[in-house]
Amino acid sequence: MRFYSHLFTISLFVSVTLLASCTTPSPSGFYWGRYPQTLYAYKKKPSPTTRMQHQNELMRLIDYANSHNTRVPPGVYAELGKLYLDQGDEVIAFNYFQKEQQLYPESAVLFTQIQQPKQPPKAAAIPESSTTRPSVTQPISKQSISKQPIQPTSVKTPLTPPAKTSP
Amino acid sequence: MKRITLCAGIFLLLTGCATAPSKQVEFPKMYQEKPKSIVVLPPANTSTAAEATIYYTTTIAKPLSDQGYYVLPIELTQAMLQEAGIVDGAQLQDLDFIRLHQLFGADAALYVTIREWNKSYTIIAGGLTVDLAFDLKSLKTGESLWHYRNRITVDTSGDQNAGLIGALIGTAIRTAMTDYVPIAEQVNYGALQSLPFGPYHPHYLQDQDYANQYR
Repeated sequence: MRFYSHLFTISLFVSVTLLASCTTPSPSGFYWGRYPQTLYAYKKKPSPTTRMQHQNELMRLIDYANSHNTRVPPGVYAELGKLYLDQGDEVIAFNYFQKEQQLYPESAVLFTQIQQPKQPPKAAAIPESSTTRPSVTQPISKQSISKQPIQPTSVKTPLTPPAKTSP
Repeated sequence: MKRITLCAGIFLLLTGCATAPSKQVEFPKMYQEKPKSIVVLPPANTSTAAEATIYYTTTIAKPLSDQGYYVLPIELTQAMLQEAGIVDGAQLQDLDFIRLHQLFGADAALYVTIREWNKSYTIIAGGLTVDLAFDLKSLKTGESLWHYRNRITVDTSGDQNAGLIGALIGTAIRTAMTDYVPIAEQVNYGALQSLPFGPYHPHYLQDQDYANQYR
């Protein structure tokens, strides 16, 4: 009898912990909400609907962090920026990239790769040998590997860094 | 009888704790280098399941950041590597750690090989068997800072009281319709348990003496 009451307590504890993990931030202070689900749905079946759902979830994570005084999780601003970049909204995109960089200075080097595509690279970003590998079959990427810094696939025209918008 | 089993279980757990080496002993370089940011590289998927790659890449950022690390935006780093023709981890061998550091500015890179990703169902239970091998490499020295490999089976079946035929049909339907996202997340959380905490975790640099029970 006593064993069963213990079992009940344990299962209650486990279920409360499980439930809590979905709705509150982790010890590191990040709240991810349904991020893995909406990202997976978008990656699995990219459509305006799944993209919008993921974009809304990212926005919700930012709202949550602001209203609960927690930190926006790593990459959330950046990923939102990429969604805007893919749709051609460069000003909004770079605004979000800037926010990611302000919150996480660890991302600074990454954004120099994305924000300054016009600058000739000091050193090729990727070793020359990889361009001759048979598995790399895309001619466009070959060019971009040896001559230019790598850019996100969606960027078709060379980007000029957008005018700074007031936050 | 049940109490004896329980006692035996607790005894085993306790003795397990006593013999497991601490994280400091197991992964000393983590505490020397103190990496703060991690770039997640595309997995080398040697399993037969192509979808394992997408399950991994969409569910790794959350547990890795919860462990206390800045995870470079995977959607961006992935797109950059894709532009260079790299979609699978097997193509990463020509990218040495110096290049990766130049590209992403991260302190460390998380490599993973997905060796197995098997959905299976027997008459009474559905399951997913996953075999993952992780390697966290320093982008300053190229050395391995932390590694972990495990093959686990996650039970994905729910109610098992529906009778044999009912269970058989139920399991088949569940295996087809199971949402594997939380399961993949669970697998990644489990794998990262032995990774020392990063700077965003409240116990950062306080877990050296924690026993590494996840070997």
